[in-house]
Amino acid sequence: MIKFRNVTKFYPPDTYAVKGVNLHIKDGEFVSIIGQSGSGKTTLIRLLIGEEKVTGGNIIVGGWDISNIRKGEVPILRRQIGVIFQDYKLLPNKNIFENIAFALEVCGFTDKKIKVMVPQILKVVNLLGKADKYPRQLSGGEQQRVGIARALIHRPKILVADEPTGNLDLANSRDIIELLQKINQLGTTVLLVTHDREVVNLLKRRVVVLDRGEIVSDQKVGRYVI
Amino acid sequence: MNYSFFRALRYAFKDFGRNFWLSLVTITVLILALLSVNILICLNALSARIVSVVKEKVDISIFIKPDVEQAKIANLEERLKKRPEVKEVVFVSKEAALADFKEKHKDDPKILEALKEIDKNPLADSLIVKAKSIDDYNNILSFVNLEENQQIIKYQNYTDHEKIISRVNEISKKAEEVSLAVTLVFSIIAVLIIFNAIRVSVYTRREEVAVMRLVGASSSFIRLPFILESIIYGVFAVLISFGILYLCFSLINPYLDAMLANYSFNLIQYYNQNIVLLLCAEAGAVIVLSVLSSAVALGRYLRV
Repeated sequence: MIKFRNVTKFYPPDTYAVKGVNLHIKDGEFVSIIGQSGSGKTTLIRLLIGEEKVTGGNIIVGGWDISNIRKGEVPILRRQIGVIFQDYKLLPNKNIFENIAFALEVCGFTDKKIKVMVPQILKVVNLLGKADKYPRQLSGGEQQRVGIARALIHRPKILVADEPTGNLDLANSRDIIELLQKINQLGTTVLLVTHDREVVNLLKRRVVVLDRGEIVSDQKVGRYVI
Repeated sequence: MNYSFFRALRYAFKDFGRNFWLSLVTITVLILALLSVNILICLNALSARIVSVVKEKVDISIFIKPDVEQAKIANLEERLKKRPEVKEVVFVSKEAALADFKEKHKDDPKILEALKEIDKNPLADSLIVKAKSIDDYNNILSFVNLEENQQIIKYQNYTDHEKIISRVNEISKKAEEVSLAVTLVFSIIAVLIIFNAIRVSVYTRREEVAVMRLVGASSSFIRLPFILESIIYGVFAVLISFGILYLCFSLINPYLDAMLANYSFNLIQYYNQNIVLLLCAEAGAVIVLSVLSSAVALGRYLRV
């Protein structure tokens, strides 16, 4: 599904954010990428969603080499990869329904389709009763679930979660991880970037460790070892 | 027209309202620019009308010697009519001229008294010649001055309106220059203010834009609301400026009518006759200006 082949990202004058990364993520896998701050985790994600371009190597997503992706093709890639962030990135002046609908509106879906699709995804993240609430009226865990719903609304094959539990307490973090596992079980490949020890140990899934832009460990069933 | 366009239009209107005061200032400057353009148009139309009326008044009056046979006068009239530069020739008999003179001076007893004293018609038969173009009069005068014609002509009178025409042209040219300079200044201010308005819009919508990019909105869809917003500024400005113009015209028209009674010029009529052309041209120019200005602002501040 996702292949990083000898991927390097260099920032002049002398910084390698990612250096010679080789990583193969299969369809339907759940992979945690861990590492300390500045280890290159976020750069790897930015390269994967076309936010940055590689300095060297190739990134292949579903058979598509996106290493030198053209500007006009980035939106096509983004509809295939759902992304969630630590700060949720919800629009405060829109309610929950509108926040999710917005992702469909800007991609040209009809109002009729939106009215059918949004409740379906709200049901998946267990927020059907809160469609008319605004982000400020929800807990951090609920806001992150809205973020997940929005990321999944295009039914992407890949879900990238960049520190999704960073702002949450343990109980809410567990809820989010359980939700990500449920999504993974339904067939979506999940890439979790975190430095939350509890979360990684709870998952008992593949763990890739990054250090100074390089992969230093890749275990099928890993634990948080930094 | 599809869903995306109407959505972008909705976002544009939303943004227009969100930065209402900035939108208002932008539209106001555009209106000022448009009003100065319209003053320029009015001046042009007015001076063109005055010049054409003055030109219309230019003619050559040929006064015939007394006791010349009617056949000779008719012959001269025929030969004048045959000339390609002549538009029309009117024969005015001395009787008709006298009647006209009396009618003109009916309220002036002294002149009427003087006429009675003379006791005979002092006026002459005449031919009034109008040329097709103001430039043709010299040719006609040369023809009139030919020896064979001068034998029956007492004198001719060419009212030279060229000085008036050139004066009208001069004044209108000066007024146009001032108006053009004012238009240019307002246009530059308008471009800058639209640029700034779009920059502020990009800033206020930065979160939305970030989410749009994240969920895979195309670059053109992200840009479209900003472009439409600048077009909305233009359309509002054109409509409001025409509203203001018609209001001003209806207020000043009675005075203008009195001033230009001899020129039969009516601004409202002029605008009504040319409304489609004027609206399209002005809206087109404002929209092009707005779109260019916002496109530069987007290129600079919207990284998509």
